Amino acid sequence: MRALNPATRAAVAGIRRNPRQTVLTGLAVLVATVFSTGSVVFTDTLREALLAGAPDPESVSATVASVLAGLSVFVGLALIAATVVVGSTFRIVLARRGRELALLRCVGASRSQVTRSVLAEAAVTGLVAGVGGAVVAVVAGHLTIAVLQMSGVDVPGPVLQPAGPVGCVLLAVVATVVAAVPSALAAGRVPPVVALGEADGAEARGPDARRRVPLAVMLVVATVAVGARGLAVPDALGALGLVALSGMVLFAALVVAGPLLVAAAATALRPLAARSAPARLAVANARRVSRRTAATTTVLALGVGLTAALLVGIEGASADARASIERNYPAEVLVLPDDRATAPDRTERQAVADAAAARLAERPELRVRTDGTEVLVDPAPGADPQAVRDAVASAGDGAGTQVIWTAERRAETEQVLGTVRAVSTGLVGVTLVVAVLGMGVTLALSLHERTREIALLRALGLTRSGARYAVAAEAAIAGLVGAVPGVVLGAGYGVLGLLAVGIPVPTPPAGQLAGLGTGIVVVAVLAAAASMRRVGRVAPAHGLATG
Amino acid sequence: MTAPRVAAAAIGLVRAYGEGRGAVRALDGVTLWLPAGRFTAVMGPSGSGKSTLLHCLAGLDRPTAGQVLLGDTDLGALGEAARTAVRRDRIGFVFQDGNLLGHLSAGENIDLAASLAGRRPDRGWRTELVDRLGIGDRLRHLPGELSGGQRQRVAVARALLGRPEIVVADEPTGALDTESGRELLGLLRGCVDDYGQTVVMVTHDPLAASVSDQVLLLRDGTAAGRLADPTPGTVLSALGELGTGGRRPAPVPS
Repeated sequence: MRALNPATRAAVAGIRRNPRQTVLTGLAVLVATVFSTGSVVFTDTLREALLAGAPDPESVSATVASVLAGLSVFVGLALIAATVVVGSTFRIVLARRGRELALLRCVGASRSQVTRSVLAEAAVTGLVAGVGGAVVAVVAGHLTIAVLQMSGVDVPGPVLQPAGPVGCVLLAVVATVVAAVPSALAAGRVPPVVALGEADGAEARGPDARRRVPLAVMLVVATVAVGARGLAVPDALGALGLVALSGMVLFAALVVAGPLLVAAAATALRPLAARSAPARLAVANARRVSRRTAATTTVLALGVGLTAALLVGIEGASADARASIERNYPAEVLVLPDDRATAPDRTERQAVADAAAARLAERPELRVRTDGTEVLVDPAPGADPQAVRDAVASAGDGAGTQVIWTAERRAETEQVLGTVRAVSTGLVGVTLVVAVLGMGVTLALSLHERTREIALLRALGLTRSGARYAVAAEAAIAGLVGAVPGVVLGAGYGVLGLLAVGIPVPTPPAGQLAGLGTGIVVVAVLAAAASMRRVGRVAPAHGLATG
Repeated sequence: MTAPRVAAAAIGLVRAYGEGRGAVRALDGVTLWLPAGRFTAVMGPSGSGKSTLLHCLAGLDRPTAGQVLLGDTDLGALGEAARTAVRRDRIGFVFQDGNLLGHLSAGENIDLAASLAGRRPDRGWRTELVDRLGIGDRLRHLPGELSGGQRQRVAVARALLGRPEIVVADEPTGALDTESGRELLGLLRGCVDDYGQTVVMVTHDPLAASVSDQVLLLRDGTAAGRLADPTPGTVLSALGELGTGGRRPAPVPS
């Protein structure tokens, strides 16, 4: 460690002496790495399992590759969310260390030495988070498989190829370093005079509207252009890809415009908070650190948006699947000539169908129609379901026919839809978890920095519950500012996605969307619980002490 | 007595903040010089510009007009990187309350500037300084494990290790109790007397200023006088003449 420059050494020593903060900073990356490593381990295991009994290794590789590609879309989203969150936590952590960075500059550290020290710190943080995440994923994977095997499910043993997890750790390091670049550059720009006690207003500085507005406008134009192009493309998969790309560009626009939107939202909320001092405080704080608030709320909007798009998409796909069953299965029971038993001769098939129809028609429990070679059977009004089953079984089975129960097809479809819903919610959920974690961590770090101010307010007469309420209100505001655009834009993109692949747009699942929005605000407040507890413990006298 | 060499000087120094009519001139044409190997105190009421003067002398801030000379170097004409190198190699800093890096040991803090420059500190000189300042058994401790006085002595060792052309001290006794403060001033005085170190110190405290060889007085951003061989009494009366009365007791709130 002697070889490092002292700025870097101090940063790394700081990680060793204050591991809690490092863990907090890297938490989002850790979660994303659990996800990425989990995906890699899963696909490795899947490949081995498929290869074991497969005559055609190439098609197995292709299948596994497409599974991995699908997973990496979601891993990528979670990583992007984690990067934004970690970028924000780094900014907070460094704002708190302003004096120390300035001291380094004072005694002769160059800008690049300070910047490099922050990047080194980010690399170590990313390494810690990455290794932690990889270990959690591998252990959890082995445990899951062991539990499944013990409970008698036939699953293959876990496969651990070191390349995957190592790659995921590297990815975590890169993501963290990239996230820290803006903070690192800002750290290099901390004026040395700050060390002598001059106020530093880096974080208090408002967002630069002149730079942000044109960029955001450009991104929105790009969003619309890409989205419109997507709807014009006939190929469904290409269209969906373009719509997704448009969504990502819109997210970038949100990141750029976020601080301005948060400031605007805070201004809009001010009249609502006029009568309660803690609420006014919460609004003022959200506005004052609008860059910080925006970083968490945009990630939240991403997570919520993905979920909302998913809800709308699945609603549309489910409605489409159900409609297609109703179209293709016009009766409760279909009796068809069995292709395997009958020669593919049209007249012969017709004869089989007619015979089956005649037999079925003798049963009083059944109403029978024919449509070409298809015999359509419905239960008679008021018929006992069991009697219907027996009647169909005795009259329809055998003699070269096959019986299809529409109810079974419906159940199968619902099962598939349920699986798709569960899996995709799980995949998107990781991004949501990262976002909510990011909110909690950001709030916790922000409050730590504001301890003196809170103490002063307490000394001036803010009650303990008032202080807690202010924190909860701040979390709720952030949750709201993330959830509302997330739900609206996400639902919009869900509709666009359905249009792109040519599925009719259903009535939006308003209840689910409202539940998602409300749920997020509640979770945001819950994520602030630890901070609320701590803020209640701040002693009023603390504000009068120096340091 | 021959005139001593000049370690650093300000010539017609102006530092204005803001622009146009709203501009505030924290320094408004200050000319003064710091004799080499002497202890200079800078005093003046709040807002007199003494902090700004110190920042300019230390290469932390750039003058709006006029010159700041360190030896033959005009600090105002240097770019950011060159000023950083000057701070690292030619200036020592002692701030109020230590200002050490909390995660580095006392010893590592002392070596800070040298290791930033990628140099090995002069071992013999380091040992002498550490012994002289009485912190030899504290080098492995973190700043948080040291007393305020010990932290300030570590800061002094850090400032002196590179044999800088000047040591800049900003209220070095501000956060210390009376006894530790007196000790620290004695140590600074000793460095001037025994090692020929040039020290410039900004302070509010007439007692602290009386340890120096000369007191430079500032008022409203201009030089307002010089006091050679100060005593607490002469410093107080000089401050009184500035129209501030030194440290008046704060009015008791009713």
